[in-house]
Amino acid sequence: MSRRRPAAKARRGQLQLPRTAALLAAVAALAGCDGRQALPYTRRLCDYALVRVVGVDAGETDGRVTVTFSGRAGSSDDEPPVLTWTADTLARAMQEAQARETRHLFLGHTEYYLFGEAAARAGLGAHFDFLVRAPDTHCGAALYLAEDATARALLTDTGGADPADALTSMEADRFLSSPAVVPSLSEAAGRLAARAPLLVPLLRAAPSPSGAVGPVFAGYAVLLDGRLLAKLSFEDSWAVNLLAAGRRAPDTLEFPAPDGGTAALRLRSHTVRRHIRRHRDGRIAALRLDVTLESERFAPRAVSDAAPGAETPALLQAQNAWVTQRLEAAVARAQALGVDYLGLGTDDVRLMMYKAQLGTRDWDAVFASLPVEIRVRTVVN
Amino acid sequence: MKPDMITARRLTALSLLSLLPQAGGLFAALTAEWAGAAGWLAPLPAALPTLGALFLLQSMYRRRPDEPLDRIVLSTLGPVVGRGVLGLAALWCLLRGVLALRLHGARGVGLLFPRTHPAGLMLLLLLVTLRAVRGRLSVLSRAGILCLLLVSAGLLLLYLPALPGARLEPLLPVGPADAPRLLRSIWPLASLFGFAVLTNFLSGQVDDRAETGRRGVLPLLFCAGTTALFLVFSYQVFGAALTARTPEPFPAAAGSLSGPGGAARLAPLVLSLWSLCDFLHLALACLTAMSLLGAVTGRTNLRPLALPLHILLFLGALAVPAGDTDLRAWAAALLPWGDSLLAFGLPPLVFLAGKLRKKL
Repeated sequence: MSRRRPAAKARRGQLQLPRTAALLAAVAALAGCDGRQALPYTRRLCDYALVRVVGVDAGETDGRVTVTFSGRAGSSDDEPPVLTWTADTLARAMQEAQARETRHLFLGHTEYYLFGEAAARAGLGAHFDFLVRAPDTHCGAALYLAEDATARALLTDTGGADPADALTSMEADRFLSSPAVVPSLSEAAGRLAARAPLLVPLLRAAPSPSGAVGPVFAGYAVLLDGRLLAKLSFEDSWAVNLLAAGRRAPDTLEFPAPDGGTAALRLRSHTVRRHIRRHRDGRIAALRLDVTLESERFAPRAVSDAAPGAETPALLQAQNAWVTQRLEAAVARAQALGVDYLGLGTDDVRLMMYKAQLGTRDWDAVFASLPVEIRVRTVVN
Repeated sequence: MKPDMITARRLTALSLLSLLPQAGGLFAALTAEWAGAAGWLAPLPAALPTLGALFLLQSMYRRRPDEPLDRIVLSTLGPVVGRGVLGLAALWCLLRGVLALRLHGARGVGLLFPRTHPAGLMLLLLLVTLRAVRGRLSVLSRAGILCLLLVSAGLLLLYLPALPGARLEPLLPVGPADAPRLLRSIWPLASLFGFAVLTNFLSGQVDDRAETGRRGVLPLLFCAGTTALFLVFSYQVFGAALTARTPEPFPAAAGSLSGPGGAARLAPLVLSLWSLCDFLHLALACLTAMSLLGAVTGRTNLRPLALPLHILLFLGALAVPAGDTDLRAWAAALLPWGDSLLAFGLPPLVFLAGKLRKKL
């Protein structure tokens, strides 16, 4: 027990708060010491470069990684800055690019990640892993792949236009000709971790009517284990959009008319329902897809003179047959690859399968040989 | 109620509240790794062993109403073995404090301040904890109630806007074949919740310790339910496979969301809430260690122990593996075993010894 006099103890108590405050102030002052800050300092908006698109290329030459940042300065309306840096790894490239740039590259509001096709062939797993774990990056940003090109080329050869704006307006078009499946970085990394297939929209550079060159949707890439497995052309991706998307914006569907020529109907929305047929022992026997197309009630536009001027049962039947054929081809292609990238094996199907085949969860193996029946009907309102 | 006494419910609630950062971080990743998509079911059954241990303690308190837990241990196990056990428990509390402090620093550096040294963050926390530990437990418990309100409000702010976008698919499939993996994943979480049993070495300052079990039900339900929501939230953003590989799944998932009014990257909100919980955890671990050391040495004035223990904690935190992966692997390998032995092994041992020696 202390034998200090009461006055000395009281003085000690009075000094405690100033002493603690002085210690806290000393810790806070460490912020400026030695370049290795104990505490971060506040930046102003003009100190930032807001990165909207991050492009990653790898696997083209000597295995190095090139990262391209496209965005805008924090407080100016200047032309979008583009910064490119190459290093051994993505982490180092981003770090060195940051060190080179006078402004702080702010990745927290990144909207898009664009990978080159060569990088996808070499493998994207390590890049996904880094980007998801890094504290600066935004895991909700959308993922795209550059077809037959580098991400750098797609982001730099834009004639001054902001590539992020082009991607934003493309995503806003909810037509069957625009991508319906756009994974985020976290979704992609999650599917990679679960060894599930991943569909990533493909982009290629194309001139717009105004003359600027911007990215346009060119189809889908199928990735498995982080590597490019197959590419679906723009025509094939139509079926993917139909199966993957729910109710979409009105779109025009052109198809061969029964008497020759091309007819078209205004497609308002569509739904896809999955039905499982089982064997007596509970194993899945077949999968049936019921696709309902809702079209608007008006005389279909006759694209050629030979086509009829109003909807008829024969016309609707022709449309149904055409859509069925396209969907069957898409499903057959997925089955041939042995990978259900169309998402037909959603978890409700897997759950039902699981009940019947305890311990067997290999949907892709079941899917490859599963009979799939597709029924399409058109409802005109 | 005497001036520096708290209730059993408040002690249990504070102990469990302080575990939320680890529940949403290291242990969420462990649970996802071991149980997969069924991991979100693990927290509620994981609370049962702790509840059983609390009821066992309650039974011991009722048989020896005038004695706190450390006295009961000394009288049932004997002075030599009893002191040895209490000394080991004190060491374990300090080790827990070291790991919690280091995880706090690693979390701050990993989530928000990637180019800073964790020492600054750890030092700040220690300074505040030192001030709290040298004060009264009742003051800490009142601070803890404020922390509880802030944490609850912060979590609601995260959950409510995310509710409309919730999907069932990331939580499936779940079936009977998941049972073995699920049972295995319960163990780390159960050991984590066992910290509420360890803090019962502060029962000398608990007014109604004879109701420890009954009063611990609600706090346990809150903690287990919150942990389950952490897993559900992380699964919605990342899925089970990626949650297992993410160092801090819940804060990282919060950082990927956009909040109301365009607010984005809510990881700083989670980090600030977690700092409050880390403060409580460190303070409780220190106070428990001090109480145990006091029981071992027979010392009644424990305030002088605070500063040396804090220096020890700081040095220990600097000495643990620096790499994030090594740190988490080390913590994941060590914490469940130590917590399980002390929280679920010691009370039955004491009870059995007490029965055999006719002390209980």
